[in-house]
Amino acid sequence: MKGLIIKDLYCLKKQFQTFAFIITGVMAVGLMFVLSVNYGNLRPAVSGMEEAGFDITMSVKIAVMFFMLLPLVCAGNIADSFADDKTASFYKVAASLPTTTGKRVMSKFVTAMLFLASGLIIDIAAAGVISCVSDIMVFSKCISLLVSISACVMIGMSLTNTVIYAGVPPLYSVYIPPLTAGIIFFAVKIKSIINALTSGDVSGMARFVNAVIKAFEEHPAAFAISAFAVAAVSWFVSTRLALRKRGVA
Amino acid sequence: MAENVIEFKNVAKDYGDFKLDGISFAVTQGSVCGFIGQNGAGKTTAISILLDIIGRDSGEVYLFGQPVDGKRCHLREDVGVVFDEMGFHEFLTAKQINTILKNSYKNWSEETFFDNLKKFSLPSNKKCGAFSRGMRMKLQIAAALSHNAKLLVMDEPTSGLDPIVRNEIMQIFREFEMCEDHTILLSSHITGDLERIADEVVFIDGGKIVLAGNKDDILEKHAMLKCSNKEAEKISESFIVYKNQSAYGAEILVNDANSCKKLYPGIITEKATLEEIMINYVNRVKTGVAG
Repeated sequence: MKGLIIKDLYCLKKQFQTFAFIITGVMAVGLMFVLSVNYGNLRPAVSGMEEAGFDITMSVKIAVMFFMLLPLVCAGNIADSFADDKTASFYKVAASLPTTTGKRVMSKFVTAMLFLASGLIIDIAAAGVISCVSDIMVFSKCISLLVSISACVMIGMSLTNTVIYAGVPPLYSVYIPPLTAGIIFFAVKIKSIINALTSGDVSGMARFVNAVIKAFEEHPAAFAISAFAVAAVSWFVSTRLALRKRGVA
Repeated sequence: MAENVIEFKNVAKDYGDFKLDGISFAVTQGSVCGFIGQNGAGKTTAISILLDIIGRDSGEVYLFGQPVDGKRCHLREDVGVVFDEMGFHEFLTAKQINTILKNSYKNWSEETFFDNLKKFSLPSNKKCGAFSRGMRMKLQIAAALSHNAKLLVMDEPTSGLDPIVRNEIMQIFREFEMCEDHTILLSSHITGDLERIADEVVFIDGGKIVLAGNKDDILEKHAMLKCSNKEAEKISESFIVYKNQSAYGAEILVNDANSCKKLYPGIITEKATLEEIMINYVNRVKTGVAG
């Protein structure tokens, strides 16, 4: 299994330049945005909006979190490793190694988690910088939020693995992690979004986003546990799917 | 008596448009078995079943005397595999492949791997995507020989290679074969290579085993008769595998060379090559008649 994980990390290394470019860009833009809101050109606009009664902190928080979500989604691109394997017909080599099917499938999950962990580490560093230079978010709350979002992406990555083992081409599976994270974002406070949409109240939408972010900040452990539970079920199903393709039918 | 390293018993696999039809054969320890057949005959399917890459619908497969059932992956510690395509990512270097395989095989020997690379004149720091087909094959063979494998399973390792590289690769197989408990299953449609190296031959066509046994016995039993069409009429149907007739005469593959020599002393009898045997058996299956 270790050998297969190393192979997947070599696949990640191949994408390192793209990954580094996105991370650097995201961090630079995020930092510029935060600095500008606090001390720069955006400050007067923000002050004006605050005077008009808008909850600007929450809007800035959402914008910052959006920037920080990118490294996670980018790191969560496990489908590329499957696509590389398919191009090279590596599945034959993998199947000829003295490793069980379960471990072969597990290696993909472990790699996915390592990819995600690398994105999370970068985001934690970014959160540290943002919490130091601004008062948008306390560092601990930032971490909670990141853990919850990472958990959502991890659910998406687990589902991606299963979907690929079920036979869906990796090319179509790359959208599953961000899509899943998006679905969870809405599903967490489904009542709020229904109320917001049916009432036609503009502030209802803001209340919904607030509620979701609050849920992310307050229950990181619940999201993390759910992610590991989904990963375990997903690994089991993926292994069954992989086994069905070999051995006595 | 030598043990069977590989055993297929009535193995079937149905793809709808192709069917592996209850094949049975065995490969004994210390032998080189040539698995021959035209493209699409079922060689790769059989090898994939042996390596547990694909499932089978029925039948039993044994590797080192133990059933291949998806639960005995440790058996693959002793199997070196060479596929018709490289299987490693093109952006990987031989050095990186060493790191991957070192962490996959318990008996992996880095020293042997790098020695093999040197022996085969393969660079260790160059991306293998830049390798020629011959170099890619040699890289696979270098890997297959670096974990103390007792069985080499190779699927068309020499196809598409020039004669010089093919000869080098055959030499490598011969060296591997020097150790008496080393066994080779070599699938190929290049019968000339197998004629030089194989002890046993399993001939598959249309998903069925057409012929299996000791190579020398098969070559001794079969012969090509060259005669006029009139003389061809006299030859007993029971000897004829396939008869190829033209206006200038007939070429007949027979399955009992000695009897034919005695019964038809006036007819020219020539030794049949594995290629001639393969072509004539395929024609027989295709046409459904002995010519």
